[in-house]
Amino acid sequence: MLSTLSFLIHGEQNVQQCQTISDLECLYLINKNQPLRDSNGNPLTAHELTDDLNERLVTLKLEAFRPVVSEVLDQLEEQDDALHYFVLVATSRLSDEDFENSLKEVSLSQKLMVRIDGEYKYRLYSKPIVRNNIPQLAWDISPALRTRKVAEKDEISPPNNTANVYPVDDWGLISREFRSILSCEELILSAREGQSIEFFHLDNQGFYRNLLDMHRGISSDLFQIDGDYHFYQSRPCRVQEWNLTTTRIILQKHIFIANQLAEAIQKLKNIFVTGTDNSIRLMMQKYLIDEQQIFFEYFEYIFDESASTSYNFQSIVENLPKLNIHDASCRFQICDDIFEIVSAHYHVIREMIQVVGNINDYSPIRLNEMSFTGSQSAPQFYAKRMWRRLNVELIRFIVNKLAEMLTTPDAELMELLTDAGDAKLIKDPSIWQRLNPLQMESSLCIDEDLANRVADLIIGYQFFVNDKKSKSQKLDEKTFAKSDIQDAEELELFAKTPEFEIIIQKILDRVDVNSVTEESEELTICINKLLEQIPTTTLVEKYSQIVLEKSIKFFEFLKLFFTSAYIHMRHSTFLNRYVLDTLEREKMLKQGYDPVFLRTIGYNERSTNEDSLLVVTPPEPLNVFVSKSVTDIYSQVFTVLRMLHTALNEVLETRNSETLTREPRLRYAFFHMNTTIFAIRKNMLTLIEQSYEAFMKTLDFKSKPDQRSSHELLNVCYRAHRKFIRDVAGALMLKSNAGTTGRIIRLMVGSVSQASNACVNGDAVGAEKFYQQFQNNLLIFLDQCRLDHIRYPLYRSLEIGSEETDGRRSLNSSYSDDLSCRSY
Amino acid sequence: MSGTGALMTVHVGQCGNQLAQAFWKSMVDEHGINERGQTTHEDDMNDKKDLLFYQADDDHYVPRAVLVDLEPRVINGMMQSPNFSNLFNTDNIFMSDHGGGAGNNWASGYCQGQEVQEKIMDIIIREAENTNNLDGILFTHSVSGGTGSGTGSLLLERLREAFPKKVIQTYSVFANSDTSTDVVVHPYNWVLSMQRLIENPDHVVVLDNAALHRLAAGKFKTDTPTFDHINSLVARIMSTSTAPYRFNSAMCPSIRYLDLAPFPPMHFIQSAISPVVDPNENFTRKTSVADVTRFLLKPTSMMVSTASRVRPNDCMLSAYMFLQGQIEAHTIMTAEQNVDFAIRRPPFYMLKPLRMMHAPLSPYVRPQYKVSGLLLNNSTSVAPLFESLLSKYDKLRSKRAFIDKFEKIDNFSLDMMDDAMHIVQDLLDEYKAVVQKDYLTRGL
Repeated sequence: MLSTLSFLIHGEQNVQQCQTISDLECLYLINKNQPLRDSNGNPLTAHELTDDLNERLVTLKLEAFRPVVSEVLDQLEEQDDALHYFVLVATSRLSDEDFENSLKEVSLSQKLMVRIDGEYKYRLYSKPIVRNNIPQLAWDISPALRTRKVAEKDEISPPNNTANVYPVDDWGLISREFRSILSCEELILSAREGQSIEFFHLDNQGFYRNLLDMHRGISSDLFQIDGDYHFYQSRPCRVQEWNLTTTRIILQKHIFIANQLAEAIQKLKNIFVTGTDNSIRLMMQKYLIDEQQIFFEYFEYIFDESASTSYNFQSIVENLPKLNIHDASCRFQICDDIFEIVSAHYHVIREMIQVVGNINDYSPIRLNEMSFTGSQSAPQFYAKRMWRRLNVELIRFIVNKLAEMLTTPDAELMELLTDAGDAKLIKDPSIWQRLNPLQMESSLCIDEDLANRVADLIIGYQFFVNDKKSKSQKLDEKTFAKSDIQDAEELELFAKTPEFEIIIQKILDRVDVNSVTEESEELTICINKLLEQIPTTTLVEKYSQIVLEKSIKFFEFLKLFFTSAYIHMRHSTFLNRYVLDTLEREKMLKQGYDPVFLRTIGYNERSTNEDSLLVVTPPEPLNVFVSKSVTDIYSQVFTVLRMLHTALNEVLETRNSETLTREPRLRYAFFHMNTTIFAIRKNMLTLIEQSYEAFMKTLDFKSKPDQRSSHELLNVCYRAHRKFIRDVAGALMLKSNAGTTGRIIRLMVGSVSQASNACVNGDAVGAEKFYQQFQNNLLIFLDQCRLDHIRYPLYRSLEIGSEETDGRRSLNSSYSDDLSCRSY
Repeated sequence: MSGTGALMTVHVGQCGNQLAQAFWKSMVDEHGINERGQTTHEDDMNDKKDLLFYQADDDHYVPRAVLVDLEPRVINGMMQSPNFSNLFNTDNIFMSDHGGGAGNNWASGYCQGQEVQEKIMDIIIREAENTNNLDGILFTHSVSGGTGSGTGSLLLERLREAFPKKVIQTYSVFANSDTSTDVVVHPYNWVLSMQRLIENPDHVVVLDNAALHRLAAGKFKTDTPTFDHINSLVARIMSTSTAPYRFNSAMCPSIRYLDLAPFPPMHFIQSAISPVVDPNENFTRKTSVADVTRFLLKPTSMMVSTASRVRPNDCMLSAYMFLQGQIEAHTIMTAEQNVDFAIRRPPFYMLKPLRMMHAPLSPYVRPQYKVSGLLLNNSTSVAPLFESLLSKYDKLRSKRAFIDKFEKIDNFSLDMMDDAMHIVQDLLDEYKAVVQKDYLTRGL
């Protein structure tokens, strides 16, 4: 009968036939037991209903269809009164619109009617499709059937009402109902248990409610929480036509994932920290709380048919995909969808436990990259959206932090920057990074160049502000203009105004949390926009220009001081604080040294080595140029040149000595010592001068306009100064002779001093002896010079005993046994 | 005390004061000071103004100069010139009360000097005491006239006595010995001055009038070069030779470090400058270090009239070559190695007597040449000049020509003249000895 009914309504081709057959049965019963009644409550007869239908055809101007309708109804009346009455009732319950549309459509498709020039005409001799003498309806009554509900069936024919069950049907076969009772899972289960069992039999609504509540951590009759706060299924359950097994299998995985999620959330709550200053942790915690809120509300939102309720999550994300939980036909799919959402949520949360638990191992840049990758490659849609939301949060966080760091002097830099420990570990560091070796991580979303530039700018700005503060205290307008100070202060104030927030907001507006983009450049674009919009770059560039000019003056001072300041010192063999103090006093005599830079020169009292007695401690950022090794080289230059100068002074003291008047040989000896010391000193000074010329040529940015920024030029400055220092060390042969130059010169100078003292005291023999010592030391010095192939030609003419006028051949190196030439 | 000490200049006689004009004109230009002693430029850190100037209470710069003459013409003319009228300290000017001058007579100048020497020395000592760190005295005079040679000789004696440890460097103009001169007794004056030049100063820069005229006539396209021409050349020598001290050279920061006279009294320095062109002519040559060096080392470039008479055994005892201009440090080193072979030195020398170095330029004056140079050369080749002048002296002295002019001066005796001649002779003997191999060991 049901198949007949199905054919009557849907025809042969209908794919839903099998799926809805039980529904049809149910609906048939409803229609049968709930006929249309007149005003007195009496059921309308088939005849009355047919008349009504005919009148309706007239009213709806469907008279052309009358033959078709009549043919179907007549055939039905002949074959099955019940079906005939059912069709009439169902048709009369159809809305006019459904009736008209379906009549036109179905009759055309069954080729009962034709349509000519928009007008419907009955096709002569056409017959409705018939099976088992039952015609297929030429209109669709299913909309009228769908309005009935399953629950109504249960009330009418409760399943345990055995009175309604007939073991054998009219044909003598085991009836369908009885067969279903025999195969009834619940009964089998009950029989096995030996007692009656209780189970839930839920409709869609109730089922989904319980399920979604469980995922949100809310217990229900079905899903209860045990002592370990784990969900379990309180009793067997079936959902509508699903049996207990099917439902159990479905629910098993849901209970599993719900417990996993609950456990993960609990872990997350345990590692949450309140009252922390760590802004990235706070941001992550807020993000996770928001995500929980979204997850929680999402399942409310799924139930909300009207979609008119406003949810808090909509302040974060406009909408979320709806699940049609009312569609009973796709319950498996919906269950799977729900599972996928929960699973996605769980997997992201699980990642977050790792992140929040070890938040110090994750920089915002790394998290941003991680979230971007997640938003691109997470397997579930919901997870992608979660990662995307984190990605957007992080872009906002980073941009806001950068905005703060680039405008506020006391910003916490370590939230985005990391300490490299040593500038050598940073690729191509700027001078700011050399002073403060902070760097910003690069990632898929921000390339190394930009990361370096930003880090550099931030540190540069900090130096600028610090410098500015110290200058304003000193009221030194020469070194820093007042306008610059105002610029910085204005920027700091501006950063606290709503206008500034609007600028940042506009930059961030392009980042849409509701769309998943494949563009990895989003962060880069935002940062570039930020750098364009705020004037920090200009300020730092301006500051760099000032530092650049100051650096060049500083280099000039260093070169001048370390190559000539000893000239103004009191005559003293050893450098000590007293000597240095006298130097300071001499400076008061306007020797032309920059008084500010002069204050940076100090005396290292702890040093036991005369080569590193002087220290240079300039204020930031100039101190970047004078590391310990650089200072040592400068100090050695000073020491060596000073010793040579001292030797010259010692010789000069003998000029008016009576001893020399009597001893022409000694005159020559002192002339020799003077000439030699002068030549060594001159060679060294000339080589330093040569290096300095090259150095200054590199720094002559004004004569050759350079496209590079002052900030880049500072790096050029740094490298050029390093090269200059290396050249200076080479000029004094400090490197090639592993520091022996200074010691040998000290010996030579010692001999000169002793010879001079002896001469002044009238001791010609002593003077001559020390002169010989000087010659021996000179030979050692020349041996050292020979190791330096480049500079040896300059010293070749000092070879003692060379008979060649050009001094090309040494007869008397310390390697030679011919000592006769050593004496004059 | 070490360091860069100050210098004082003493200008004596007509010639000495004319040189003062040229020198100080050049100095005020090079140090950016106007005729009122005020700075015309922002101070350059390498400009050591206080080397030759001091600052008055109102901060204007005053030359550390003492001007001395027995007749007022030159100094008065100078003080009336707008360039100098407000520059010099008038307390530092000494002019004789009677204003008659020394009449080109050394004895007159010397003896008149004795009368006024205390006044002059007061000025000099006061000036020296006002200076923290006086390193030396530059002395300009002529040795052929009366005041420069006579009074100059006396002052040199007094200066040495008063400042035994200061460097005294004279710029001494020797008479034109090749042509007739208006001072017939100049050989007497010269011999008497020479004794003081041998005994007192540390260095004597010999400015041979004949050579200066020859150079000026050759380079300035004129047959009759004026004193201005000559004085401009001398001013350039003085200016370049003091440039390292005045403009902060670490290489030679003070006159004390100038070691030109290893064997006193052979401290007579010849000079050469390059390039020399008429300032009114267009300069078409391209100067280079090699070019300037080559020219300076030519014997004919020396400003000594006898330089053309090159003797094969003449040796360089000590010399400084100051190169100025746009010079890269390494070019001087290269040039130094290249010229070394061309220099003849005494046979016992194991060292190079020539020191070449870069001398800084004034930061305020655009140099006329890309590269220029000065050679201060202490060489035995100066001896022929002295021999020539001594032979002129001998001729006059043997005839007792004009000797009465000297005899009539009180406190002067002819023995002074003969002693001086012997001392000059000793000097010439020394020049002969120093080129010998056994110079250092003779007498042992």
